[in-house]
Amino acid sequence: MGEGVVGKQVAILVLRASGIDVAPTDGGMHEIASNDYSETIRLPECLDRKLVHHLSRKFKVPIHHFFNPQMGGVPPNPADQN
Amino acid sequence: MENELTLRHNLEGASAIVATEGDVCVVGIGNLRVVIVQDGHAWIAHGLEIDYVSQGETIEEAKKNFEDGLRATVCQNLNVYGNIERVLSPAPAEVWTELIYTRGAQHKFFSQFTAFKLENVPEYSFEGISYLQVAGAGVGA
Repeated sequence: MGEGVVGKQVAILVLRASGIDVAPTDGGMHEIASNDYSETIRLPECLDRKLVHHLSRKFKVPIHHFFNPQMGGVPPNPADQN
Repeated sequence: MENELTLRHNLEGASAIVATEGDVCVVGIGNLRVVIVQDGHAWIAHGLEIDYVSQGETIEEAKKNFEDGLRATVCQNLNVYGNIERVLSPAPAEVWTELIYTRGAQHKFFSQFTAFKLENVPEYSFEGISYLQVAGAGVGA
């Protein structure tokens, strides 16, 4: 994975951890919505730099590949605590 | 026409018209400039007067994703907010500068009218789209 490229699942995880709603649509796209902005977009398996920058800017969320869910506000998986 | 509401937006040379009657909304977008540029292994389509981005493995896929995604975004905003004010914001200045002066960038002029029945995904397709490649851009599809 090249510099600035982020996988789709990581991008979705980061957005959701930051309070952004991300929901798949019937057409294979995703509805992404914050309190004051929403857009529908087809998320590829690998988001290249410009698309990552666009989503970061529009939803005011820094998105990067090295995302730690425990630092992003996502509660730990109970299965991992046992 | 009863319950008609027509709004005209001027977007740095592009234009958008919104008219509603009952639960049907017609949205027209004219002369929108979309820059297509390679980003790593992918192609990016980025609207200038409307700050919307799509990605594709080919130029055609990036264009299709842009058209499908923008149409769905307009529909989503009409259903959620009742207007498309939030969609009609231009890309920031640094994006214009970066995209316009990127070597090998293509410029696509984009015009469409689409009728949306609120709460439903529109069944209408885009018409009147013309493509313009900048002389000497030398981009292979």
